[in-house]
Amino acid sequence: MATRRSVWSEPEIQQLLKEFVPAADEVGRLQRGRDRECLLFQAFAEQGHYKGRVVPSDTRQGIYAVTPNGTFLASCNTRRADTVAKMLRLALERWKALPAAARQLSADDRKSLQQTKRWTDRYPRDGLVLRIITRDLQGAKPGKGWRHNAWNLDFAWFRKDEIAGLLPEPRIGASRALPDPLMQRLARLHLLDNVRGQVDSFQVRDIEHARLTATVTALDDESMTLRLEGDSRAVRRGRWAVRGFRDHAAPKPQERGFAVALLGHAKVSRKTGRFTAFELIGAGERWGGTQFNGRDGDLDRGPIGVVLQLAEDKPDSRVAPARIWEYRWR
Amino acid sequence: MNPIGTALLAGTAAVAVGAHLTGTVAAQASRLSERDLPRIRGEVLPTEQELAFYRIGWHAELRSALVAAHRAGKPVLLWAMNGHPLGCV
Repeated sequence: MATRRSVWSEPEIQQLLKEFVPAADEVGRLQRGRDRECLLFQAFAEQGHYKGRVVPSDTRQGIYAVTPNGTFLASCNTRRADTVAKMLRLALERWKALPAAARQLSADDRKSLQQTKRWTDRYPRDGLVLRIITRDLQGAKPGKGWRHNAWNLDFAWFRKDEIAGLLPEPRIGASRALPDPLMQRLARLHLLDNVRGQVDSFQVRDIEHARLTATVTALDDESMTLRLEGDSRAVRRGRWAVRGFRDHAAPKPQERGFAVALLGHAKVSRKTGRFTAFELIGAGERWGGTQFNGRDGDLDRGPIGVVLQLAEDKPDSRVAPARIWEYRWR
Repeated sequence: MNPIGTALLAGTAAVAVGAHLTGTVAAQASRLSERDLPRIRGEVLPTEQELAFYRIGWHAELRSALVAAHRAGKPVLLWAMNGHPLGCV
């Protein structure tokens, strides 16, 4: 996540990227899938900076420059903008040296790519999409380097049929609790300490308490305004690593938890049944860590905040929730 | 530490020593008031500078970028991470 600021926010990089079509994607699926998109990635990744690597992991994450048909141009994996700029310039030199015919995506590949199945095909355009931001609150133990003042984001999706379960009857004072399956999903998969990196979800048995109630506070012919109020507490105990690859061979007993109070407001169109505004704010504490969530050295309890807001429907926000497969959508 | 953090930590500390969970969590919720929201929002939401990477206009999938690059006659720059770079990484 440090790369967001250290590389992609740099004006020189942004200028160089005008010569490219920029894409961001999740590497795990790309390096293990068997569809045409994944196979193209695997072919060029095996010519890149991590080719053949299996220790300490087989990840192929990084920054790649390729032609539309997947011909490798250059790659690197760094948080340094100057290194990325050098790589981009090298890629452009190699691009210009290639004949046009050697760059183009074949008609068969274009067709195969269009037929690729991805979670984003299930983007709930007529439902509710929330952007979730997490960050430590004032008073948290300061982190070193990129960990200081880190923040992260994820998305939560609700289908149109699920939204119906959120809404109270249209009467001022009427209220409705979020149905258990949706509340469990929210608490397990989205009320998490991912501030410094991805984290495992909680399991159903970890949820000690979770509720969110919507109450009608204003009503007219056009819209219904809701007050949202609730809380969530999840605790998981077991044996796992908390220091990345340094202790993964010797996991120790651990506990991690997330407990927040929630308060916010939303507005729903009475004609379309769609949310036109939504903001839910949470504050509480987190403790413990997981193998890759960067809490090594900061396992004690600390204050954390979370903001869930209506996400804009634009290409760079059509990103599936981090643990979408746990939605169990059919 | 801000008052919210202090109050919540105190509340959850009670849980840790065996207080009644439901009552404690309910007490936490009551401590989050309307007047607290602007401050928490302000602390959590990223600044314009922190969101500068969005100015690039990313495709959120490799597949759409490859097709767009073919049409535009440009190379693709792919930023691939464990976790989606435009989501939770």
